[in-house]
Amino acid sequence: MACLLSDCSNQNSLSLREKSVVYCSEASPATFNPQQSTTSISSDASAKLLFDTLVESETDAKEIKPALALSWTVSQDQLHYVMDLRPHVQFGSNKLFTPTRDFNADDVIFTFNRQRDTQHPFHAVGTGHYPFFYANNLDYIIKDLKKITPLQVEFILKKPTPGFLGLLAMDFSSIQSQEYAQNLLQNKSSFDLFPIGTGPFQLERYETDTFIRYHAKTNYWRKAPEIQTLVFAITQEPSLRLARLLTGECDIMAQPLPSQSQIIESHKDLTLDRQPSFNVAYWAFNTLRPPFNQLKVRQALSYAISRHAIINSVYNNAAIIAKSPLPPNMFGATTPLPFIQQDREKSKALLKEAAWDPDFVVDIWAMPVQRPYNPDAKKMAELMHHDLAAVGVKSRIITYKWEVFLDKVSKGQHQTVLLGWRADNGEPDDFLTPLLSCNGRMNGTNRAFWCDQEFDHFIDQARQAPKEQKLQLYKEAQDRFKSQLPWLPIAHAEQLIAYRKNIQHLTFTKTGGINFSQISKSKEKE
Amino acid sequence: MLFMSKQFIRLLVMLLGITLLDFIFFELAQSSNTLIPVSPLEYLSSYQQFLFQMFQGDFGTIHPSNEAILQQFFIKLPASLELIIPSILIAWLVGVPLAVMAVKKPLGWVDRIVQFLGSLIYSLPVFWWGLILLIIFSTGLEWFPVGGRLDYIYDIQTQTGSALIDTLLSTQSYANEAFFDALSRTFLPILTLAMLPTAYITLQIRSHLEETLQYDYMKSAKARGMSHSRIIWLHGLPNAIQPVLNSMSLQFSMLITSTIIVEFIYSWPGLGHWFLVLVQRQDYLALRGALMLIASAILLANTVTDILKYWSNPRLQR
Amino acid sequence: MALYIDRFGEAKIIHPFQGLWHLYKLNNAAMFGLLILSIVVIVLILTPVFAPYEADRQFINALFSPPSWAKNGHIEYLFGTDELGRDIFSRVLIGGRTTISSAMLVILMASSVGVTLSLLGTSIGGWLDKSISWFFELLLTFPSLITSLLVVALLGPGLFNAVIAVAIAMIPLFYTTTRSETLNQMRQPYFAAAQLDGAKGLRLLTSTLIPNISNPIFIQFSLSLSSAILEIATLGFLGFGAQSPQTEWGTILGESRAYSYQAPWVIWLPGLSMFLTLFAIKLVTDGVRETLEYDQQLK
Repeated sequence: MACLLSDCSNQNSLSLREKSVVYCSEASPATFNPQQSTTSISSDASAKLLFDTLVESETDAKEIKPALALSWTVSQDQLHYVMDLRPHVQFGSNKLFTPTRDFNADDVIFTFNRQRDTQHPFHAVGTGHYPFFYANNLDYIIKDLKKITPLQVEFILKKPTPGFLGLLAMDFSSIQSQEYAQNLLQNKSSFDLFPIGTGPFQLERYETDTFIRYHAKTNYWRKAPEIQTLVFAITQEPSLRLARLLTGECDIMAQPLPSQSQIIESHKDLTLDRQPSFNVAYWAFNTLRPPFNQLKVRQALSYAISRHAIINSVYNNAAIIAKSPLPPNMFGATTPLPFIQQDREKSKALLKEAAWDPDFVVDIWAMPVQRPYNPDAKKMAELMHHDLAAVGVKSRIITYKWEVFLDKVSKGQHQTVLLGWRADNGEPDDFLTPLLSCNGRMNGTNRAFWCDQEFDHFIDQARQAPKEQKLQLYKEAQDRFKSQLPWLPIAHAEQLIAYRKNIQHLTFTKTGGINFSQISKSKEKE
Repeated sequence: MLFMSKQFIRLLVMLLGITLLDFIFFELAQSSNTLIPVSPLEYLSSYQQFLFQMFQGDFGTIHPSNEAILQQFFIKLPASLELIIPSILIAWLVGVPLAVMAVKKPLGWVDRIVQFLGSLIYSLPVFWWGLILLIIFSTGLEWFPVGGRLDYIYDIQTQTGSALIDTLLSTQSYANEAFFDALSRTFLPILTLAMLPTAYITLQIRSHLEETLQYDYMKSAKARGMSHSRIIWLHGLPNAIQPVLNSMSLQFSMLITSTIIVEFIYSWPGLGHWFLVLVQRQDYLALRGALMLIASAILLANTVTDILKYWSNPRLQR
Repeated sequence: MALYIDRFGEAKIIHPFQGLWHLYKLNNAAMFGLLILSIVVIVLILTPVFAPYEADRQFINALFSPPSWAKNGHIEYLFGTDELGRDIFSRVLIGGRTTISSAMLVILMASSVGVTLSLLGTSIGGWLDKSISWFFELLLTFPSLITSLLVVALLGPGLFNAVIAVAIAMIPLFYTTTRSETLNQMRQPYFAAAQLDGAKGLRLLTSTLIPNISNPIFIQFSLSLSSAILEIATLGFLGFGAQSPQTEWGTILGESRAYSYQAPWVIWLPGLSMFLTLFAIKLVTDGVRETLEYDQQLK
C-alpha cells in the first residue's frame, strides 16, 4: 500500500487494523431509522448494528426467542400480550446525549406510539413514513399500549393476530430511546441523524456518501463484539469495491458482481460466499397506465422476454428464474402452471389481439444502483430492449439517481419498472402484502399499482389462517397473480458476499441482511 | 490603486450578475416540478430574500443530512486545492524548462519530441487517462491505493478539509502514518490533473518563445555577445510568458473541468465531486447555494489573475 | 494567385489553395495527423461497411471475450466483447459516429448563434451591445463543463439534451472570438477606407468584414471541434449524456468502469480510438494554423 513512503510495521496501526473491520458497502443508507428504511443498506447500517428488538426469530419464523423481552404471556383471547422486559440494558451515548437510566417500558411505548400516532411529536420526523408498520396493518391491529410496571409492557390488540410476535421481531420494531427523544425536543431531526440504541455498536460519525464509523459498546447486554471499530466504506463503483478488497483496504465487500466471482474465488486470501436468499427481481407494469392496464399487453410483453439470457449475462448464473413472486425455498411458494417461457410468436399474436400501436415506446425504468436481487438493472433493461425489439415493440431505458428514482416510482410516474424485494422475515406475507396488495398500492410499495379484490381476499385470509390452510390460500393467491400478471417475476438471486479469509463469524440473516455483531478477525497469514 | 478599485467593482458587478443567473436557474428548475403561476412581483421578493439570506451566510442546506452548504464548501475547497495547486506548480516548473530546452535548437530532435509529446498529451481525454492510470498503477502494479482520500481505518477529524493538513493536526497515535497514506493517494490524481496544463504551457511558451526570439533586438543582443541561454531566460521568457498569462482564465477553466472529472474518477472529496453529486441528486436548493459559492471562487480567482497580469506587464500600467 | 517555385527551380503561378497545400505538406506532423484523420473519417462515414455487427447485438455465448489478438480471443470479435457480449469494434465505430456527429452539430449550433449575435451586436452598437458582451464575458469565465452540467440538470439526461447543453456552453466562445476579431478589423485602415468608398450596412458586412474574420473563426471552429467531442464524451461518461442503449464513446467508457477487472480492453480500446481521433484533429488543426501563419508571413 503506502509502503513506499512509510514504515509499514508501525505498531500503532497494526493493532488498529487487527481490531477494526472495514466493510465496503454498495450504497449509502437513506436513513438510520429502521422504522423508516426501505432499502437493505439502510437496514444493514442500522437495525442489527445499533438496535435490538423485543424478540427475535432468526432461524425459523415460528420460533420466537427472547431479546429485549425476557418472557411474555398471551391472554386467552389473544388480545393481550404482556412483555416482561430485560433489566439492566443500557442505551448508548453520543455528543448530544448520555442516558441516565436503563431501558424500560417507556422506550417500548415511545417506539410504537411514534409510528401509530400521527399526532406524536416525533411522527413527522425523518421521512415521516413508516412503510412496514402500515403495510402490516399495525395501525388497525394495535389498540393500545400500556405500561404496567417499569419493566412490563402490555400490547392490547383489536383482533387476534397469530403473527404478532413475528412482527415484533422485525427490524421496524427496533426499540428507540424515549429519554433521548425527550432531550431532543428542540432539535428533533437529530434523533434519526445521530441514532441511539441498545445494540452492539454505536454510531460515531457519518460522512455523507463516504463512510460510516461505528465503535463497539463495551456495556452491551450480550457478549460485547470482539472488534473495536467497524467502518462502512461506501463505494458504489463495483470495480473500485473489488479493488479495495484486493488491496486489503476493505475486509468485506458487499455485492460482488457475478462476473467478478472468478477473480475472487481464485485469489488465495479471499472467500466468496453464496447464499440462496429470499428475494425476487421483477418487471412491474404500472397497471394504472394504459396500455398496461390490459392483461393481453402484459402477457404479450412478458412472453417476449428471455429470462435465460438475463440469468446468464446479468447474474452470471448466480440466480434462478423466478416462477412466482415468492422464492421457492420460502414457505408457501408454489409453481403456478403453466409457466411463462419466452415465446416470440405467442407474444406477437397477443400484441396483435391487443391492437398494439407499433409506434408506442415502452419506458423501462431501471435503477442505477446495484441491489441484492439485481446486480445491474441497466444491463437487464438493455437485454429486454433487445427482446422487445425482436417482437416489434419499441422501448427505451429511463433512470435517475437512486433516491430520485424511488421517489418518482412511488408516485407512479413510471410505465414499467425493474425493481425487486428482499425479505424481512420468512413469511410470504412480507412479500405479497407490500408488493401486491391494495394496501401496498396506497403506501407506494406496490410498484404495479395493482389492486385486485380476489388476490387481497386470499392473502388477508391467509394471514389469519392456521398453518394447514395457509398453503392452499397462498396457492390460490399465486394462481390469481399468475392469471393477472401485474408483473413478470424475473429472478431469485443468490446473495454473494466476498471477504478476506481472516474474517470469521460474519453471519447472514436468511433474508440477506448482514450481521456484524459476532464478527472476529484473526491475524493475516503472511 | 485606481485599477484595483476598478477590478473590485467589476468583481462585485459580476457577482451580482451571477446571483441573478443563479436565481433564474433555480426558478426554472423548481418550475419543472410545480406549475404555480407566480406574479413578477413575487419573483422579485424571492430574489430579494435569496440575496438577504446569502448576506447572512445562509446558502441553504443539503437535503437529508441538513448540513450547511457554506460549511461544506469550505471543507471541500481545501481538498480540491490539494490537487489544483500542485498541478499548476508542476505545469510551470516542468513546462517552462521543457519549452526552453526545445526552443534552443528549433526543429532539432529535442524540439520535435517535445512538440510531439506535447500535442499527444494535450489530446488525451482526461477521464480516459485517469482510468488507465488506475488500471496500470493501482489495480495492476498495486503501487498506489485505488482512489478515496484516506484509508478508512484512520479516524481523523476533519478540521480544514485538506487531509494532508488534518492528518498532521491530528492527535491520534497513527497520525504520521495517516499523513503518508494521504500523500500517497495524491500521486495519481495530481499526475492525471497536471498532464493537460503542463502540455499546454510547454507548447504555448515554446511557440511564443520562438516568435520572440526572431525579433531584431534579440539578434542585436546576440551580436553583443550574450549567450544563447541568457538571451532566452532574461529577455525571451518575460515576453513569452505575457501572452500565456493572458490566457490564464481559459487555462483555469480547463483546469476546473479536469478537476471535476479527476475527482469523480478517484472519488476525491472535493468541490467537483460535490457539485456532481448535487446535480445527480437534483437537489436544486443545495445547487443554488453551492453554485453561488463556486462561481464566486472562480470569479475571485479570475480577478486575482487579472491583477497579476496587470502588475507583471508594465505596458498595461501606462 | 501565388508564386510557386517547384523542384526544378521553375516559377509557376498557382491557385492560392494549392500554395497553402504545398506549405502544409512540408509539415510532417500535420501530414501524419491528416493521414490518421482521413482514415478516421473514411471509417466513420463508411461505418455500415466496416462494422461487422449492430451496436446492441448481444452474443450471449461470448461474454467478456478478449480482443482477437489475445489468448482466448476470436477473430469474429476484433476488439473483443463486453459484459453483454456486444462486439466492441462495432460499438467503437458506431459510437464514434454518434460522438463526432453530435460534436459537429454542437459546433454548428453554437457558431451560428454566437457569430450572428456578435455581428448583430457590433453593427447595432450602443448599450445593448455592451450589455450582451458583458453577459457573454461573464459566462465565459465559467468552465464549459459546469454550464453544460447545469443545463443537463434542467433538461434531464440524454444525447439530445447533452448536445443542447454543450452548444449553449460553447456559444460565449464563438461570440467573443468573433467580437474581438471584428473589433480588431474595424480598427484597420482598410476598413475605414472601405467605408469612405461608400460601403455600408450589409455590403460592408459581407464583402469587407466577413472575409477578413473568417480565418480566425475557422480556426476557432476546428479548435472547438475537439472540445466539443470531449465535452459530449465527458457528459456521456458521467452519465448525463447519451443513455444506453445509445452508443457513444463517453457512455461506453463510463459503463465499462465497473468491469475494469474482468475486461480492461473495454476501457483501453474505445479510449484509444477517441484519443487517436482527437490527436489527429489537433495535429491537423495546428498544421492548418501554422500554414496560414507562414502564408501571412510570406506576404
